[in-house]
Amino acid sequence: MVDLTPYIILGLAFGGVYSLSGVGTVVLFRATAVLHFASGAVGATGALVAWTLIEQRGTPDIVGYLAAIGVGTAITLGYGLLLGPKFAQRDALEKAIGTLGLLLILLGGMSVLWGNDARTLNLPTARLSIQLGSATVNGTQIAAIALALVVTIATTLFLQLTRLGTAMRGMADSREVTAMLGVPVRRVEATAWLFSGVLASITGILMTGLVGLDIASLTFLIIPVLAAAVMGRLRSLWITFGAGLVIGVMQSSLIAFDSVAEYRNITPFVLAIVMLLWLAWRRPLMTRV
Amino acid sequence: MPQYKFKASRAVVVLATGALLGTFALSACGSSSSGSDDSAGDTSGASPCGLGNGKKASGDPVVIGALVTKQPGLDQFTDATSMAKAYFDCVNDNGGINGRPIKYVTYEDQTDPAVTQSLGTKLLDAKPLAIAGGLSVLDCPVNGPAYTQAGYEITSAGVTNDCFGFPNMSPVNIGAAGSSTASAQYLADKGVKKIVIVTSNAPGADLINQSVLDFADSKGISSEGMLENIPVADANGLALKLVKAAGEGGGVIVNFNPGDSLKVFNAVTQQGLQDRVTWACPSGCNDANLVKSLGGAWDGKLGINAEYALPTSTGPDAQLFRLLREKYAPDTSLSAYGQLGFVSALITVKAMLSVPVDQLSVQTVNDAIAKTTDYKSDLLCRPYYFGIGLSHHLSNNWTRMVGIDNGKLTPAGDCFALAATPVNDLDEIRQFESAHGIS
Repeated sequence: MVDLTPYIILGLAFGGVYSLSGVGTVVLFRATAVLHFASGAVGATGALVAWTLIEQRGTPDIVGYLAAIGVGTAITLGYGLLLGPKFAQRDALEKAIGTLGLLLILLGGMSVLWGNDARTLNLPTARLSIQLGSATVNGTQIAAIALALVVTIATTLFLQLTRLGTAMRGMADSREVTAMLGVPVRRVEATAWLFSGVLASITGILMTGLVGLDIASLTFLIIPVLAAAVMGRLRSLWITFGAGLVIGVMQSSLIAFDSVAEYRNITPFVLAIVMLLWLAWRRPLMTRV
Repeated sequence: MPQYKFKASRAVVVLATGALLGTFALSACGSSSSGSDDSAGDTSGASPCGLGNGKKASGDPVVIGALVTKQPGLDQFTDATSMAKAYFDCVNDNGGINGRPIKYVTYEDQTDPAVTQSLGTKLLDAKPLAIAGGLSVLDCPVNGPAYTQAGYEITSAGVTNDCFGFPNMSPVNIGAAGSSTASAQYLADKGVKKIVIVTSNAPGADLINQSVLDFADSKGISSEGMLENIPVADANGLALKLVKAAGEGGGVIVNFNPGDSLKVFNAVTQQGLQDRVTWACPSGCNDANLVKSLGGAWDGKLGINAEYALPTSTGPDAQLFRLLREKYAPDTSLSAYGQLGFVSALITVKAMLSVPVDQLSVQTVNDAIAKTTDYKSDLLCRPYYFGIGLSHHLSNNWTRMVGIDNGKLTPAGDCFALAATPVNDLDEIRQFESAHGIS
């Protein structure tokens, strides 16, 4: 019998990162109707900035990580401020394609500026570790799970208890009606972009601790993140949170079974399709956009 | 009307955004030079380039061509053509090919046979006098027959096993299968009870694993081969799986490109698995950046196959390699891939220089390449020979292992003979060597 404990713990850590980024994706979509394909690339860019400052230039860790979050947030916010209003009246597909363009620009930029050499960014959290049965759990894994939970709770409360959160929820239902009520929609959208940028940067740093500082892996982190967000129908933070964890755990656990290990990367797609089919069967109207 | 707390003016946001993007630009500036912190060191005894006369070549260029694979996960393959070009550039600054400059034509393919085939056709259309210095995953199986028909004798490094199976291709390296087998020999010498190899899931990967399994079988050691898609998405899970598969007293060979190998070894470090098994890595880990990134945690705990002497060694060709990298290809890693292209370029230029300049043609140049015997270089364990008459080649069949000391590659033992397996047919090649007095 295969002992799945270590794989489940690893999967929960990955799932935490997927959930964290998924929450950012859902909040941004609810406020702006933009499906943000470039969040993984934003995180990768921030992580590379941190690597350069910390490993190459000897900057204190905290400064490097803050710079990473700052750069990632600046890119996201800059995109939101410059192009967000221009895309506001476009349909969802055009908005999403816009962020795909940002992804490609960042991907190319990273390749040119940093190349594809092997490199490591040692997170301070990786130095902490505890033994849970047969599994060694490090601080990065714990941080990923804990942060996902904290951010999901905080975001839920923010959306329900603050005026800005109420405005965001209103914009999710109708941007035009919300604007007519006097809500400064551009500012609300800017806040959503800011929030998305911060979360994308943090997930980029955390993911670096989990998979390494690899441009492609970090950029395409968006695939399981989108799957989690889609499973949450781009509305529910808690379903997105749960879906991220399920994807992470399933993906990680499958590696223990040789017959299916090779196919574990399709887990996000399979789960998203199953969820959509289930929703279509249960409540057909809910799946119509 | 509710009063929103969000009061930052657009100007403030734009200013903050600009400042942060400035940080981004500043941090990125100069960070792409992969090995820029590794100076060339002492190069006072470097070999000369070509004629070594310090005169710039001019006139009608001599074309040499190659394909090289460039795609995520195999990025460092281009080090081979970069260092071959560096040598050709140096030759051009030192008299060229008896006065004529070399024009190096390279095309970047991916692991798509259709693309590789069209680029191979395009390469032949460029009418090169020689094909050298390349490193492409699919070039041999896809374009090998066309190169044979066009009369080329090729010294470029081989990736898949096909490259070692053409009469007109005599790669300067031992290949992925050979390097993995050498790593398995290292593990066997360490007395492991089981050998597990994980290889990137690419064309020819099955044969690489098979060579290790055959070797382990010949030594009575149990073994297991795995294929893994790259880029590796879950290095922690993979590291755990490898250790479990190898079991107590086992050994693991991680056969990926440097980036993915680093992910796996970092995952091993994070989970404290370094001492659970014995670790080995084929020549993909023979990379200064990778070892530097691993740091001291892996001192003495990882055996790395090095097909050539370390780039930091003191021989004249090693010095020239470092000198050329610093002068002509500063953005190229100090890696084994670069050495492969460099050595292929050295052999090709020497053969070309032996042909009178007014007689340079595809036939004369490639005849000269095929006649290469006893080519000595301090980078090689034994002299290189092309091996006319062999239906398959593996002339570079002695190799060595290196280790890690304080985050740097360090020699670890002498050269040893690569083990013969059904995959590499070395028994037949060694019979040829005996018959021709090659030792």
